[in-house]
Amino acid sequence: MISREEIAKLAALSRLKLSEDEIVRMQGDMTAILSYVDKLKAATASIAATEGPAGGPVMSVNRNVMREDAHPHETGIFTDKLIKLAPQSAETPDGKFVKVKKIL
Amino acid sequence: MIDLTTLTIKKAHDALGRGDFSARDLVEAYLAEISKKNKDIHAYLEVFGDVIAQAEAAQKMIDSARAAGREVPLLAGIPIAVKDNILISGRRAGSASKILEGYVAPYDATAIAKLRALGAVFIGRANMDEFAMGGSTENSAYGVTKNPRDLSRVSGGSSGGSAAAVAADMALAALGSDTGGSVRQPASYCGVVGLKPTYGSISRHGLMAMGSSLDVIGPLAKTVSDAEILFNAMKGKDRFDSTSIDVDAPAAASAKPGAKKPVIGVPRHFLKGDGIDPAVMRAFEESVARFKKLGYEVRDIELPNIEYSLAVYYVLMPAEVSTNLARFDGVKYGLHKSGANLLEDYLNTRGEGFGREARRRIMLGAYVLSSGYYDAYYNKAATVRELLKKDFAKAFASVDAIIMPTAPTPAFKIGEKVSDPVAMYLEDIFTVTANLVGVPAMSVPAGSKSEGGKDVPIGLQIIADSGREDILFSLGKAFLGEVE
Repeated sequence: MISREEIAKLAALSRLKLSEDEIVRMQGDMTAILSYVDKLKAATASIAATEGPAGGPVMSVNRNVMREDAHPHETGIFTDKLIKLAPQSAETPDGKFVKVKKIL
Repeated sequence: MIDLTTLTIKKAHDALGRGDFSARDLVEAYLAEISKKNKDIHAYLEVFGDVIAQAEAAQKMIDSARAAGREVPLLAGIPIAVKDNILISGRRAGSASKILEGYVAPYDATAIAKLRALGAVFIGRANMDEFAMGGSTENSAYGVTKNPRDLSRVSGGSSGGSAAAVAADMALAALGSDTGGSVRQPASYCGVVGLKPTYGSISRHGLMAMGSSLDVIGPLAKTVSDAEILFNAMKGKDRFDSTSIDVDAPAAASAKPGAKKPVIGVPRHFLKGDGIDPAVMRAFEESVARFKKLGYEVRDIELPNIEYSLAVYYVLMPAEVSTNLARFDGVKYGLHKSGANLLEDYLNTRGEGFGREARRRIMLGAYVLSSGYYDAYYNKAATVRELLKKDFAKAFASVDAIIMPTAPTPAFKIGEKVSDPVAMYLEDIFTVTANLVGVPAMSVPAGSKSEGGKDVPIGLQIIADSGREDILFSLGKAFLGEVE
């Protein structure tokens, strides 16, 4: 069973405020889900029996797709639309801003 | 009166081109169905207020094409429902989540822009499981979408609103998204066609991200031909999505006269679990028999690692979810719940804004990615995913398509699985593999189960190799007896 403390820590890492009830329920849910995905342990034999392309271990062949760092859109053309979506925003002589609470 | 029950995109296009009815007549017929049925089914979160104006604009396209002797654009005037996680510029979009309350899309998804250019009419926002997480739409913050074939059952998910809208003639076709079965499973539950295309074949620019290595937009429609029309309209590389690709299938071998018919493989070893409804297996055996009768060779194949698919999926997907959903913080858009400081703003906004399943998957993702567990879960799952790709590459060297049921059961009762996440996840057992491997797969109606005086639909899933949607279309049409 995954512990209460572990759930509380995961919630903090995930930036989620959970009620006491929810922490208890999450303990049960997460334990059940993790015990299902533990099926993966049995895959060890398959992994050992399979070699990667170069005779080494099997690795993901996904690669990042890069693009040229060029041709940006014209500065400011989306500003009004996007600022309007922010729950809190402000306009000063320096420009338009999304507002957040002080962090320092 | 337009008979919506037998109408297809093709037929509507021809009728609009001939002037049998106008684009306005057509959308009014759908709006009439919506006003009759949507209060019971709840397929739509919102029906747009300007549908008639959109239809009139489409009519102008039709009229000017006809006047100039040009071909009428294929989708001009075609009414389409759009899943609530796909952006349409200037309209609300919310992934059926409270955390996006008030969000208005600042731009068109590429898929939407392509359909718009062809004259499609967007009827409204279709309900879904919050952020596409779920198999029943019960995770929508705005209530469940009921199954049009039996209102006591779920419509499936996560694209349940899209499937129900098409099944109940509240739209001629719909867009969904598929991360682990979210187009195919609701299509199966509601008795319509649902296509999950090859990974990357349709741009995801403007689709809210859930599992970025898995997500793809897909069409839901009444016929395979209609799904094909929509796929062709949306596909193609897009400079706004660096994972997008061009998938122009090689001149379909099967289309050449005298060419060999596709060979179909069945992974029998994977169809023996006791979680599979006997009615689903009966329908599946009938489907196998139907393909044989149509002259296709059907043979058994092995996919040695497929039994791990669901476990792999429920590690990789939540890992990607926890990353993607980090952007919802109450600062840039949507809900904002204030606290004593910025950290409390985050905790409050996310704690209240996300529903239970979203919270569960975010935390599960944080768990499998945390140091100490990363190798045991994430790394292992990523490795087994590569084995699955090899299994499929090997299978597709000897067969052209693989068939299996779309879901282990027909649509279940509303509320039946809400308190048991693992039981809900098991509904994805046959669909997640195509997303992990990246190959295209399609669900087509393949019978039904008679229960309580209702016929509850059952779907057949057809899977082909990457970029071979053409094989899915040809097999699907043959299976359903659709005339080309």
